[in-house]
Amino acid sequence: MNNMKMKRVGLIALLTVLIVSVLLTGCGNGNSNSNSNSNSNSNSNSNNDTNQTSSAGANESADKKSEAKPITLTIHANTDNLEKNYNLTEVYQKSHPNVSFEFQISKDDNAQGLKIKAVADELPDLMFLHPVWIPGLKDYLEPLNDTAAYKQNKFAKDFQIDGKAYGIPEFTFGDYVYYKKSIFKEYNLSIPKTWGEFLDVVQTIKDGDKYTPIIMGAKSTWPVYAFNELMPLIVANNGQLWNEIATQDDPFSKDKPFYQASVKIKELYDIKPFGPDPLGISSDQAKAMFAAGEGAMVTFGGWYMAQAANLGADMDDIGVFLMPVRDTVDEPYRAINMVDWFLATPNNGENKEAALEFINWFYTNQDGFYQKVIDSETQMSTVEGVEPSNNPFKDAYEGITPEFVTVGIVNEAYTKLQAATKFDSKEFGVRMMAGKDLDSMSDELNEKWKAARAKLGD
Amino acid sequence: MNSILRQKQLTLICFLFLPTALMLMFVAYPSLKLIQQSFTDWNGVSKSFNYIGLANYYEIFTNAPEVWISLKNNFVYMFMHLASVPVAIFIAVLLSSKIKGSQFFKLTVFLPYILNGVAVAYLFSYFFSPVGGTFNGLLELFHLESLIQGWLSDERIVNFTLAFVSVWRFTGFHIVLYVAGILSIPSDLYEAAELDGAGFLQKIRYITIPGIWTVIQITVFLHLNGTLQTFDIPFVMTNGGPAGASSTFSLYSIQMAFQYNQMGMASAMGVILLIMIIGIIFLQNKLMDRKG
Repeated sequence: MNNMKMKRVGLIALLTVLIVSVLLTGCGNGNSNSNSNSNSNSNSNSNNDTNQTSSAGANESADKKSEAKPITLTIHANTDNLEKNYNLTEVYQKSHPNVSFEFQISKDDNAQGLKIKAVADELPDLMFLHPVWIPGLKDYLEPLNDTAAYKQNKFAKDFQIDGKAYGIPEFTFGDYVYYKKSIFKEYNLSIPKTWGEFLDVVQTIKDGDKYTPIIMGAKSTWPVYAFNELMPLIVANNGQLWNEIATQDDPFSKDKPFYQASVKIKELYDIKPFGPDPLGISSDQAKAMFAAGEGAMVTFGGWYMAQAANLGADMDDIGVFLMPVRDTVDEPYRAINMVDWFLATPNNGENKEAALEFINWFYTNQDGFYQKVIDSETQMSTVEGVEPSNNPFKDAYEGITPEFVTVGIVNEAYTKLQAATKFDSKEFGVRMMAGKDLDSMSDELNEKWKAARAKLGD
Repeated sequence: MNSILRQKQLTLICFLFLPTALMLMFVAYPSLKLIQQSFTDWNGVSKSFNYIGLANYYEIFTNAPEVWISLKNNFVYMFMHLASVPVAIFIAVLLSSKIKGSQFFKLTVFLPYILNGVAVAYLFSYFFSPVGGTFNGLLELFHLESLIQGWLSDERIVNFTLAFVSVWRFTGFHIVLYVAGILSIPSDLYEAAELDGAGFLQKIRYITIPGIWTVIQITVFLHLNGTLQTFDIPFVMTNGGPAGASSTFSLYSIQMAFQYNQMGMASAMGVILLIMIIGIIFLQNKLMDRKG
């Protein structure tokens, strides 16, 4: 009897220990096994619900480097097209046979997943970052000033924080108005060269009552950036306007560029050019709608050209022009230039050396890989000595000599004020679109801004 | 006797060890960290922070109107969910009776609950879309174009649209609970009532509702708790837009944490939400408690 009891107790204790040890093992750090060719789940500890991963297969070669320890570099990006469209692993393994890649895809606009991973000390080996994310993550990123990638990059030095370049930009692109040539022909419209002409074009199409003048996915908020985020920079002729705003008590006053740009934007919004319900359409819907032939115009960066083609748009019917913000043809034709997707690596990453090696390989155009990417993505190069083989945007520059305003990186002072006042230029634009009064919104913002500056002691 | 007691205790310890450990790891520890962070100025990313006392709470109560607008939106969900309780009870009464196909109908009403929440939200995003949306299409089919609205873009109605989706999703689960409660009421009570001349509504009022009162208390608690924490439906369908009009308390606290980099303030919002839920449940118990 006693023996039976002892056996039962022992069995219960053993089961408990087994379950706990399995759970603790499962909760521990895990690295995914990269030796599979299909999309397989990662074992990383990411807590972001929007992440999905794909891993690439390892391809063994006879190179002497194949004796080196196998390394899987994790890459955080909003797409895995580097692997899917350009066979990154196959190309890279010609010179680095022991390295493979695992993509962590996230379309999160606030880098929520990256922030969580940063605090948990689990940042991926490589990350493509929007420039606005870099100030928040800089404490975790490796400065890249000493790399060949930095030295060969046209823009990296302009995006330093305290003299350190925490990322190397992948693309530079303008912001364009994509338009349907057939609709312009139908209404006998020419490419507008001033803001007034642009409004006339929009009004003409609207009066025709046949097409939506501009497709806008305002439900996603960010698509209004072409107007509410970028036009103030053009009006101010200052890519660092947001940092300048951080030094002012009343940056939203009538004599300031933000308000002056907003007045122009209000003229456009008052025409109601976006159809009956732009706030009910998402950005993905807007992209698909324009590609499917709905609407006369849409405003996106140069990256939309490749997306439109993938969405099945009739590319022969699509033209581009730069948004004309100037009032008269005697003024300079200022236009936005954006620099985006900064490749960075954590300063304490397990595979830091291999990650830096990759950054140099990518941005010095080894194996012609970078050239292939910018040609196919219809983007402009940030690398010295590498230019796109063809420029699908050359029509936008016909007959004009644009002066570019390059969107700069925001500083800590602006970030703090933005957080304290909850100011977001795109949210501001959505409120304008919803019919909120510009003057009262500007006055309210000025009050909040002044109070926040006083409180933060700037 | 001692050895039996010891054996019982050992069994108890062994079986409780795991759930207790999990509760400490995933509930108690994060809750304590949440409270701790609510007294800091941590931005959610930096390696250091400062303790700032009650500054976050003060800011929320004196200088954050968006927080209270988002809470007001939660009350729209609460109102619509609570309004659905009598409807759910009525449907449960019908499903508990001997009608043809009751099993099929029970499955049908429960199906929305078992569907993935994000999938449901996406589905209704397209259902209410102004371009090619099914709902507007149906209105056009029945020549009711005049009723077409900006279901997800008009700030006057967006919260009601989203609350409708929430009610659609969760009512089935509550109906199933009510059905289970109703089936547990002895049938001779209904027979006796019928002999006394009680009508359909009188039987519901005097037998069914008192009989399932505990279930009603539980479902009301689930409604109150769930509506105060609504996140997935507004996040997927509108992301709190247009311009914050459909933001909820939970959604705004996530935006506070990751969009505005104010993890301390977001933590304070979490603590306030916890206190609100406790307060409302306490009030619910006071109002709905029946003795005797």
